[in-house]
Amino acid sequence: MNPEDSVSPADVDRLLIERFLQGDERAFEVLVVKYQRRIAALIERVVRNGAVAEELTQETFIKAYRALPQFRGESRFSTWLHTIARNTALGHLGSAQAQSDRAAGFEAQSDDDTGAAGTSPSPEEEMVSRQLFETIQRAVAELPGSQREALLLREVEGLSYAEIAERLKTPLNTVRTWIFRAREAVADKLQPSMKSTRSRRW
Amino acid sequence: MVDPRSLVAQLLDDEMSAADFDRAYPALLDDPALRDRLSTLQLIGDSLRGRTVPDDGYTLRILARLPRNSGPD
Repeated sequence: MNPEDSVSPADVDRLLIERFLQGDERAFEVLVVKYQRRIAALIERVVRNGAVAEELTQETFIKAYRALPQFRGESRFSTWLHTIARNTALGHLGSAQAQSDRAAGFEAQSDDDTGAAGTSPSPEEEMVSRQLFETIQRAVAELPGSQREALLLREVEGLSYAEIAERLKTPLNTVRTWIFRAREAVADKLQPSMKSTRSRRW
Repeated sequence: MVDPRSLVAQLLDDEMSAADFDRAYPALLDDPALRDRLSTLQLIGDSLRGRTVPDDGYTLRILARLPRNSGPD
């Protein structure tokens, strides 16, 4: 691989952080978009409540926004952010607020008319989410084998392009092309379903 | 000429050079279609990992709470 073809994983985040520290707030938006789902999933595994997890995800990013000037880059940004998220979630579990949330959760479970907090998905949203999931699974199943394998190694196993190239004994640029084409094919199948969700884009 | 959608994917994957980042970043901010593409790619990844997909207002609710007027400490 040409060393100039790619930078190490942490570097894209570092470039975004540099821009943010120079006053470009939209660079932080990209970091939010990039990591929000992983952070939300991590917190939800700890607190086991979607609405509370969303609140704590927001708190995590607020803390990161404020503390980013003190980030020294001794670990990856993602590691640093995960630490903030974990501490925020564990802090919540130990707080009085958690006691209240647990009580509210019990009440919600015992009353079919009360759902979880207002941010929980509606039945319509759940249906759309399920349809998207099924569309994606079908589209991936229809991909050529090499593209499907490269995509799954990237998305499910989290391998880098270089690791995938080594695993599949294929040139790096071929892997890059396979993953790109695979995603394009799946994204094209999703387009009709996604049109209805464009009104609240970031 | 590199397809900007490819650059967006590489940004998400942390697989790009600094020079490509300098091309991809302003394009991402300027082009709503590229931001939609980024969200779509995340949706695909989440689905393959079996992860619940947040609704599409999730990002905006986070961004709305950032204390931008005070800036970073």
